[in-house]
Amino acid sequence: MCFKLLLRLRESARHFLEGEDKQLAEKYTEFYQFLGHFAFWSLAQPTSNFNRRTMALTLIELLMEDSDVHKLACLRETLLEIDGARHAILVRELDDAYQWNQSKALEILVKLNDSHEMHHFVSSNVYLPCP
Amino acid sequence: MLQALLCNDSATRLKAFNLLVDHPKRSRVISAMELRLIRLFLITNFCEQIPAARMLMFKDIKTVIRERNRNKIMKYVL
Repeated sequence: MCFKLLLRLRESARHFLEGEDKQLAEKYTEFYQFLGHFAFWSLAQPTSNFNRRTMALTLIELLMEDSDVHKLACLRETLLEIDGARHAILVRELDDAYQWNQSKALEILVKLNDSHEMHHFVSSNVYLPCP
Repeated sequence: MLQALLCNDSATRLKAFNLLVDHPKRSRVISAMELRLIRLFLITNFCEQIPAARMLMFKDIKTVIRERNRNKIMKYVL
């Protein structure tokens, strides 16, 4: 009797913890999405200064670097299946006054090399990253 | 914690962020509240002027992205 009760208690505790984990996973996915959106939003702001753009590019690079993170559905949406507007934002960064930002943007675009525009930029050799 | 994250002194803000993110037990999950505080910190400190401070911030963000919560979330998100 006591053993059965213990088993039931353990089962309900396990279900509760799994529910908690699922909720946390949702929150964490939301957080990843926020990071991606925030980075692109920061790049798109016309008033963004060098520091903000550098931080945004580094954040995007950081999000893309991690191979496990690539598998996250939210990031596949925000980064790998990058939409036209976001791609345009990154391409615009190639004209950044700061070479460091240019090279970071180029590195990111090379990683997303499934775009037609990207091939154009790389093949033209105009925007090669600084050594 | 909120006051420290919004403090005028940059070093205090960074130390509060480090305290929020870093933990000797890497497997300890970050709560929803902590995630909200991290968001708040990023929004208010994204224009950090000092390069060294930026580097410290990214070190901590890396910790959040790469190490913390990984085991817990992967089985649900993938």
